[in-house]
Order: sequence, then structure tokens, then C-alpha cells
Amino acid sequence: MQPIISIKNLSYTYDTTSNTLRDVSFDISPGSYVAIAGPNGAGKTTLVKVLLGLTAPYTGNISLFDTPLESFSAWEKIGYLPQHTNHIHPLFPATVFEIVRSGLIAGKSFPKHYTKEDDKKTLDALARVHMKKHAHISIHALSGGQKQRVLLARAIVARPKLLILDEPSTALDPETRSHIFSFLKEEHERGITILMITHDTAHIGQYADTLLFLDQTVVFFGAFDTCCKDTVLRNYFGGANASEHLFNHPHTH
Amino acid sequence: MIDFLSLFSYSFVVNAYLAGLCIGMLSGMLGLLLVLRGKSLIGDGLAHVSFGAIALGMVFGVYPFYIAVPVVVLASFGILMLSGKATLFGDAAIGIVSATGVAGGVLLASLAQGFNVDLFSYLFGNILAVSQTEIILAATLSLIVAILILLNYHTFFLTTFDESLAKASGVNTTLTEGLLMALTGVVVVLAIKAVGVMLVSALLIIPAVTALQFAKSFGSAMVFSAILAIFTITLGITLSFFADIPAGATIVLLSVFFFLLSLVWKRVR
Repeated sequence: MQPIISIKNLSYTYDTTSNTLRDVSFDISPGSYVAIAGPNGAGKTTLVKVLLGLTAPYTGNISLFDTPLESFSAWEKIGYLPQHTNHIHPLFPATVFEIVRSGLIAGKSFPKHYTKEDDKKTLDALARVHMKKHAHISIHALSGGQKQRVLLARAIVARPKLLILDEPSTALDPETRSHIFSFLKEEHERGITILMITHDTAHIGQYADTLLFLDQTVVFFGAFDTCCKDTVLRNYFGGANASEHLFNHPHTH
Repeated sequence: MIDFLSLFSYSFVVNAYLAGLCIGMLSGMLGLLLVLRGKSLIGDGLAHVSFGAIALGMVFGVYPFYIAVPVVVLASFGILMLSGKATLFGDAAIGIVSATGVAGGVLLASLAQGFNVDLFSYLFGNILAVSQTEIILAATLSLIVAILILLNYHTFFLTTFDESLAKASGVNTTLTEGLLMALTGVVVVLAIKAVGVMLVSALLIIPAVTALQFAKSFGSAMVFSAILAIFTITLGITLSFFADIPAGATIVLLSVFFFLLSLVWKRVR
């Protein structure tokens, strides 16, 4: 089976004095649920940004859906939830509906206009995150957790095959966090591949099947249930019990 | 006393209303995008460039707006390119391009004696002096700009809301930004006739920030901003005619009045 993401010898640097990512290589198969963990400054968000073509230039090879990143255009296959969703400007005038519908712009040719079918898809996506009744109110009338659910609806509205999430559960109350993880589990069971950056290692082992532990380079990449026995990862934590570090401390930094 | 309806018997007043309709609609729509992108002052910078471009037109005996439109559009690209350089901070690019425009205008006015009065009339504008040719030019350009805004409305929404989300959706954000800058350049040149170089940024900023005080959606904010700009210009022209006061300054002060009113309304609501 062709990998959905293939990265070979990826290196990326913000400036000439430091390597943000060094010789990163891994393949992700369709249907995987991959958690990306690692200390602060490990390059997790940078990896996602490079992967989505948000930052350049880099060295190495990246393929998405068997297409080199440089010529990849099927962005409707990828749903993206960025970090810090509370950065929405307090005066930005947008309804929940407008924001979620904007997730359907990928794949549309000029002029990029929405149809009635798109409006229906938007309401369906909102219903899936239990936010349909808030469709026509301002985004600013919602709590942080509700905003996160709205942006999650935006990420899945186009029915993507790959969902990339950057710390979706940070700063959320336990109930919302649990709701988001359950929702992602359902999406995964429907066949969506998930790639998620998380500090929430205390919970992620219950959902993800693969761990990518990053510290500028790949420290560990493999099945979650084997990571605690991995010598490299154990050495990374100074020989201590990796499971204690990974699963008993929500923040690995 | 001249009654309100008799206003329409004066062709120069009708011309002013038509120009106001075009300029108000476009400045309201584009102003909202610029304000939300933190680029409010780009209108000010481009207006200063147009001062130099108008002087250039006068030196070569070409109708000033024919020179100003391409020069200001090119300057908007210049600002965009300079802003993209990591070696420049924020709005420094606007400052550089803006100063170059004013300095160029002053130098040309000094070297070519004889058109100083004409040139300086553009500093404060006079919408009641809009000619038939300018109306046709304004209406044609307004139609083109309005169509381009509507065709790119959803792209403008997403790139303004979150540029990284737009990029990750395959939107060409550089092209969108370039288009917005070019359209702004055109609107700035048109608006100079109404309020002049010194006050043009007010038309882009104030109706937009007023609309933002009460709009709940992006679409309604754009419509409110355009309607508010049209209403303010129309009212300004009318007051200017009856009270014999400068139209540009009246329009801007009315905009400020409505903005303050919106703040009060928001507070007591």
C-alpha cells in the first residue's frame, strides 16, 4: 500500500546557525492514527508546516498521496487544524457558518463560489461536532472549547482523507478534550488517517496506534505499544522507564 | 433658499453623487479587507505616491489619472515586495514608498514651475469639481474593481481570516495579496478626487472600523462598510453644497462622527 505521507531525509532550518529539523524520514500508511510528541522546540509544528507547504525552503523529499509536495494540488484531501485557535482577532466579523464553509474552498476552481450543496455539507459538519444550533452566530460568542469544535468542523467539512491537527486539546476543559478525542476516534474508524501533534501523552496512547517522537530528528517511530520497550527512546529518557515519562506526565517538556 | 431636489438640476452635483457612489462602494469594501489585515495605512502611503504620479502627469502634459493609476498600482506591488523582505519591519515599506512619492512630487513641482496650484489642489480634493471624463473613468474602473472583489470574495475572506489556513487549502495567497494591493491602488487614485491625498486613508479606514462595531458576519460587515461610506460621501456633498464648506473635510469629519456614534451605540446597547 502506498504511504499517504512519505518523508525522506527532510531538513529545515530557520537560520544558518541552527537545524530545526534534521534528516527526518518516515512513511505514514493510510488509516494510521499517528501521535507526534516531543519536547518544546523539537520541531513538531515546523514539521507540519513544512508538510503543508506553509514554510520553505527545505531539503529532502516530501510526498503527499504519492505526489511530490511541490506539485501537490489535491488540498481537499487534507483537513488542517492549526495551533492556538484563540488567536482569532476579537473584531474579525465572522459567523460560525462562514468559517466552517471556508474549509470547502480547497479544490474549487476560479471563481471559488459555494453551492447549496456546500451549505448542506457545512451544516452537516457542524452537526457532527454538536454545533449546528450555533451556525449563524458570531464566532466571538463562543467559548474556547466551542471555537475549537468549530475549527474541527472546518477541518473535516470537505471529508478529507488525512487530518492534521496541531495540539487540538491544549487549554481545553476535560469534557471538551474528551469530546474531541472521541470524535477523532470515530473519524479514524471511518477510515481517515490522523496525524496529531500532542503534549497530551497521558491520553493519546488510548487512541493513536503509532508514535512519532521528535526532537529535531526522529527519536522513535513505530507502534505505540512497542515504544516503552524501545532502547533508543529509553536512552532518550536517561534509561528510566519510558512509559512513566510518556504516559504519566502529560507534558513531556 | 435652494431646496434639496433642485440640487439635481446642477450637473456638477449629480456628477459628484455618482462619483461618491463609486468611490464609497469600493473604499468601503476594500477598506474592510485592509483594516482586518492590519494594513490600514497602505491607503495613506499610496495616496502620497499618487501625489508624485499626478505631478509626473502634469510635467508630461498627460491627464494625471492616466499616469497615477499604473504608477500607484506598481507602487502597491513595491510595498508588497519590500514588506516580504525579512530585513524590513512591518509598515516600514509603506513609509519608504510613501516618502518617495511625496518627495518626487515636490521636486517635480519645483522643477516645472507653473502647475503648483493645480497640483496642490489634489492635496484636499474637490468632489464637486469632478468632470464628465472622470465620472466615466471612475464608473468603468469601479465596475471592474467591484467584479474582481466579488469574484474573489471567498478567497479574500479566508486569506484575511487566517493566511496559513488559506495556504493549506491551496489558495495562492501571494496572488490574492497582489490583487488586493492593485485594487487598493486604483481606488486610492479615484478617491483622491473626492477627499484629496491628505484624507484618502480616512475613506478606507473609518467606514470599515465603524461597520466592525456592529457587524456579526464578514458579508454584513462588507455591505455595512460600503453603505456607510456611500451615505457619508453623499451627505458630505450635500452639506458642502448648502453650507459652502470643503467637501473632503466634511466627508471625513462625518465619518468620524458616525464612528463615534457607533462606539456610543455599542456601549449602551
